[in-house]
Amino acid sequence: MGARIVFLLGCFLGMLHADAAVEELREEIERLTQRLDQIEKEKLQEKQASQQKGFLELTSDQTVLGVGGRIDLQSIWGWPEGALFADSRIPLESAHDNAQMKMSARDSRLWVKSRTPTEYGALRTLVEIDFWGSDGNEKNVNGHNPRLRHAYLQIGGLTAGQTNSAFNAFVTVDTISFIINDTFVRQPLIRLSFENETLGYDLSFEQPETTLVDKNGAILTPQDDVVPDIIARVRYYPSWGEAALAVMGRSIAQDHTSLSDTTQTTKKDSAFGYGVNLSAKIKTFDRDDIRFDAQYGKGMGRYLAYDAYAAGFIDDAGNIALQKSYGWHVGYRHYWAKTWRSTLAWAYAATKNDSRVLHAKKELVNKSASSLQANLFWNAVPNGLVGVEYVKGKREVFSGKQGDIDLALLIFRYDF
Amino acid sequence: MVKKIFLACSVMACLGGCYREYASNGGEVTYDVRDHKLQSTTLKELMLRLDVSISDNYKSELEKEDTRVRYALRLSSDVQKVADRLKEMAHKDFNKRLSNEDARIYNESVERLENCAHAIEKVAKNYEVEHLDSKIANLKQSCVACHSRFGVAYGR
Repeated sequence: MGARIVFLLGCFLGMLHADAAVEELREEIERLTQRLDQIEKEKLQEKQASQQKGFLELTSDQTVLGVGGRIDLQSIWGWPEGALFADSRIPLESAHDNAQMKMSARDSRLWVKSRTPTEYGALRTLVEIDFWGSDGNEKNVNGHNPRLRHAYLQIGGLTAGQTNSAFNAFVTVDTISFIINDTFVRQPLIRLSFENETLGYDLSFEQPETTLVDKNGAILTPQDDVVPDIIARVRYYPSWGEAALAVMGRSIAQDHTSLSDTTQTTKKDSAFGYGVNLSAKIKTFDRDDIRFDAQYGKGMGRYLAYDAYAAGFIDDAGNIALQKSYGWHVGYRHYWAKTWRSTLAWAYAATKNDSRVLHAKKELVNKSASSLQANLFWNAVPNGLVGVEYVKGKREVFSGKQGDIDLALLIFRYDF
Repeated sequence: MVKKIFLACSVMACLGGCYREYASNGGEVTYDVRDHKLQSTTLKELMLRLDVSISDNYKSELEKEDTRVRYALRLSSDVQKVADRLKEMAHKDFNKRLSNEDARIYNESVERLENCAHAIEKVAKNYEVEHLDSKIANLKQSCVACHSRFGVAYGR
């Protein structure tokens, strides 16, 4: 009896021991399998790393890099000759020249952007260039230097670097050529933004640059600015479209400036300039919309129409008299089909100069300009655009002289 | 762009069909169909506005991203509202008309819709705009799956 018990107990212990051994073996296999997986994973990572080496190395492995740009070919026929369309470039009657045709790919662009997650949210950067850096010639190779357009970073509500001014028209018309009252400036700035579902607020401190006209009609840049241009903007995103109101305050200053006749002013002076810009897009039928932009200010200067209307006048002594300027445009965009659309736009810009300051060269100082633009665009392929546009522009200067221009544009563009 | 418009129309058609069918199913109408039509129109416009690739010559790439993110967040918010209303329908009396199995699938579909809204919101908040199209495609799939189950059965 006792022997039997001892035998059974032995068998039982043996089984227990065998089970434990099997379990141990299983765990060992599992450990080995995991180790093998780990080794294979490490090898794969090493292989991938070695493959990536030499191609692209980023400062952070969490950074996402994007590269893009566009190819843009513009063909422009001008009567009389003219390529870029802006107030000051509309020739006066005495300067009439023959028609001219120009082709250019200078508006092609290249950009690199990055996105890196941080504890304050995504840190985004953008560097963008085009090829308006310097004029080449059309004789042989049409070489044009690159030009910096944007170089800035954004994190949280902070924007720092060079990019579009907050005073710019928030809604722009869909045209190939510039609109005659364009409020468009790109410059170094520091901007704080706050967003909610339907509203956005911006407070922007931007690079100042005074432009003044002297008695000879020459536009001077005294380079004596000490206070940044300050712009506050409210953006609104209702169900009916988009709208924004921007208000700007700026100091216009000069300190013993050299005039165009090489004499120097005997004193320094400064004045407070301001501007208001309201732009909106209102949806109408289907995908159609109507867009408008209107601005008014005293001392707006370079913010309107590419400095066609200087911020103010400077007399021989150095006194500054700011000038009022204003403009507006309205455009209707219609979709003929999903890939065909047109815009008809009408624009006007003008100034209320203090003409007593002008002693001569009144034909050099712009009084007003207007434009009519009509186009047809076709999205032949996604991100590809073919378009034609007709432009009629008129300009008047303070001497009473007028001029006009007709432009026809053909564009091929592809965003990649 | 054509793809996006197709997606937008599909999503709207699906959502629109659901409410309209339920409302015309006789008995007490517990959901305002006009509300839904307005929601559908808003969503469709938002989907269209997400395509701002080349029509704005002045905006920088990051500004275009900002625009897409803003519209994506609004889209997410509106889809969430649609999901909330679908839940409301279920809590009132809609589930009573369904078999247990259909009620389970319906609730799962609403949950999937919510997940899609959250996924779009997450991608937008992180500025991962390159993933937006795939998240919107998921949204479309979610709607199509639900309506292939319920749209026909309750669509008389």
